[in-house]
Amino acid sequence: MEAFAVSRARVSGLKAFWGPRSLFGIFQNLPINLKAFAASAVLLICLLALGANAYMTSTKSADGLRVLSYQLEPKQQAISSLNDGVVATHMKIFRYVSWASNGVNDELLKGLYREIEGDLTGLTRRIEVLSRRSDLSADERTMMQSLLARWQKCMSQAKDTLDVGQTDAAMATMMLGQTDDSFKAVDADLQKMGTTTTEAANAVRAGLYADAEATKNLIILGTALGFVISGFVTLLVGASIVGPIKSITDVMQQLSAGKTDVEIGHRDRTDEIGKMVQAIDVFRRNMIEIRAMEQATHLAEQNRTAERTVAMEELAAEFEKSVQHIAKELTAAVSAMHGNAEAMSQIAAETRDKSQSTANIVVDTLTNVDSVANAAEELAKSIEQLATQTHHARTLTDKTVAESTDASANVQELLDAVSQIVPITGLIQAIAQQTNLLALNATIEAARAGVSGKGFAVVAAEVKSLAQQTAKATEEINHKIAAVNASCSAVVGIMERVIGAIVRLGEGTVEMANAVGQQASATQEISRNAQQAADGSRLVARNVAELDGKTRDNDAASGQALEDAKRLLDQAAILQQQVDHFLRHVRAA
Amino acid sequence: MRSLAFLVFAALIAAASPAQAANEFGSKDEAVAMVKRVEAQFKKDGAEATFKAVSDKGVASYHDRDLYPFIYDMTGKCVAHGARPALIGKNLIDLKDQDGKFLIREMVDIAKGSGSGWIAYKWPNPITNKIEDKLSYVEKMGNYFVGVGVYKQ
Repeated sequence: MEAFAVSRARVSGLKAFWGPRSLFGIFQNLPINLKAFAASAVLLICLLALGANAYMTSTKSADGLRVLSYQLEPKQQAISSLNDGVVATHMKIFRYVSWASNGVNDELLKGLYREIEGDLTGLTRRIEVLSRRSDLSADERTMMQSLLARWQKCMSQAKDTLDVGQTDAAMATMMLGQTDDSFKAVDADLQKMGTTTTEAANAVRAGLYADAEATKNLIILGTALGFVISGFVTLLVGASIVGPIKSITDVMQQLSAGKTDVEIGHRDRTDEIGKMVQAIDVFRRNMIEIRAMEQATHLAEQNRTAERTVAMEELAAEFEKSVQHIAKELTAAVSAMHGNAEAMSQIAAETRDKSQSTANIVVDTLTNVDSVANAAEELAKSIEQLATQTHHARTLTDKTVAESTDASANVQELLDAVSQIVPITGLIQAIAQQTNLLALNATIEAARAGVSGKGFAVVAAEVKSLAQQTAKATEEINHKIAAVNASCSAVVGIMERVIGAIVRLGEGTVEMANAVGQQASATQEISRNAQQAADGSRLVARNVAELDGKTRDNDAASGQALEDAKRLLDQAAILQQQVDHFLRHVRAA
Repeated sequence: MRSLAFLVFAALIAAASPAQAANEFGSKDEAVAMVKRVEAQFKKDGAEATFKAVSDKGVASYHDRDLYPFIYDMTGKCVAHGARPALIGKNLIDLKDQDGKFLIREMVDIAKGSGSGWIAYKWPNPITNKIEDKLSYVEKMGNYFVGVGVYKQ
């Protein structure tokens, strides 16, 4: 139970450190450039702190050393050397008194006296110099004042001793005691000053040493602290950058391998890692969308292909239907044409027969007219016969007119039938052209299909040649039709004229019949008229003969047209077969 | 007591008697008497004349065998000396004898205190020029004090 509580506390502590709202979380969301410089910044701060401390310590040390080097030590030295000088002078005074007591000669004594005097003056000057030093403390100044006073007294006592010694060595010896005391006092003062200065110097040295120690410890501590903190910060940076970048790299590799269902972490981070992750997520989503779009495009392509196949199918069916329709129409037209040609041929035969009979009749008429002219004299006698004959002629003429009109109408019908053929041949020609184009396309498709389209290429070539043949035949038909047309037109013209002549003959016959009945004197007229009639009949006979020739031509042309129509019919059947074949191939493809 | 009385008696006799050569060394009484003489002259002739006379070895009344007067002011400066003129003008307030005794200071103390008294110390004998035990009588004299001592034999 207790262990559980401890572990829970540890976990909550870790959460407080690693959670998104923890110190590490805040650090994680810092910009990457700040992170990159964090360790350096820690080191820099440590360095700055150490540097500032070093600067301050150095300044303090320099001050201490300056005080030591330029104040305390020179002062110490000055005091020490002054002390030495005082001791030396003291010794010299002793020597002087000793010499005086032992009766050394005056010159030596005086020499020593001058030396000591010089020493005393020098020492006075040195003490004054020392007391005037600017680096003296208040205590030292007081001490120097006292020393100076002591020295003045000491010097005066020394001088007294020397003076006395000149004449009274015993007294001088006696006076050495007080001189000794004075010198000792001066010595003591100097010692005290020296001690004070030494103590001050030692204090400064101790301070310097302590500072150096403190600086050393601080440098060790600062360096260690900087090292540890910057190391820790570096670890933090590593944990917050290196790990995520590795996982992002994995994700990117998976993405580049095409895996779009990868889980991308660190989305809730607000630093560059978070932005990178968001950008990668955008890439991933784009990838998914592009893939979906590709699939949609592929599907649409498939649909379009299917639609196109259906459309092709429909087109083929429609084509087939229209071609079949055209072929049917063509067949019907050709059949009609065939019928017409047959009818025309029959009519032509009939026309021929009729024109033969007409010619015969005309010849008869001519003979009759000749007979009329010859038998003008017998006219009267044979008026009744003539009248009968005339009546007969009239009836015949009417009949001829009627027949001729019929023939003319038949010829006109033929002409119409022929003119109906012309658009059909145009249609056939158009079909032939279209077929030719289809055959050409089929050839190209066959060539694209390669080896498997070779058989089809042969068929296509056949279709093409058939189409060309059809076109040629149609053209021929057209030529023929034009010829028939021209012939028919001529026949019609002649027939009209024949009819006119016959009508006029009929009229003349009527007049003749009337005249026969009325006047004999008109016989001349009749004869002339008969002559004219004979002339006309001859002309008619000639024309009829001519018509006969034309009719024969017409007959032949009709036969030819019939033959052509038969061939056209055959070819239309073949064309339909080929179109069926072609469509089978197109559907199979 | 008897011997002391005898000594005083003998001294009185010696002082009264003109026969000075009776003893080789001067006595205490003679010393006191010499002090009195100096004081008398001091009162009569003034300081300068007295100092001069005291320092002048030709003045017999102040120079008798080993007896001589010495005068210091209250600062310890020697102003007149019957045996050692080199000391005149020197301040000897710090002067010590071989035993370390500040004799001048003590003399100043006597003069400033009771005004007169005896003091024992070591001092060079002018005759032998050796340092000997001395017993001196000192007495205040104006701003000075005057003393005369005997050397103990």
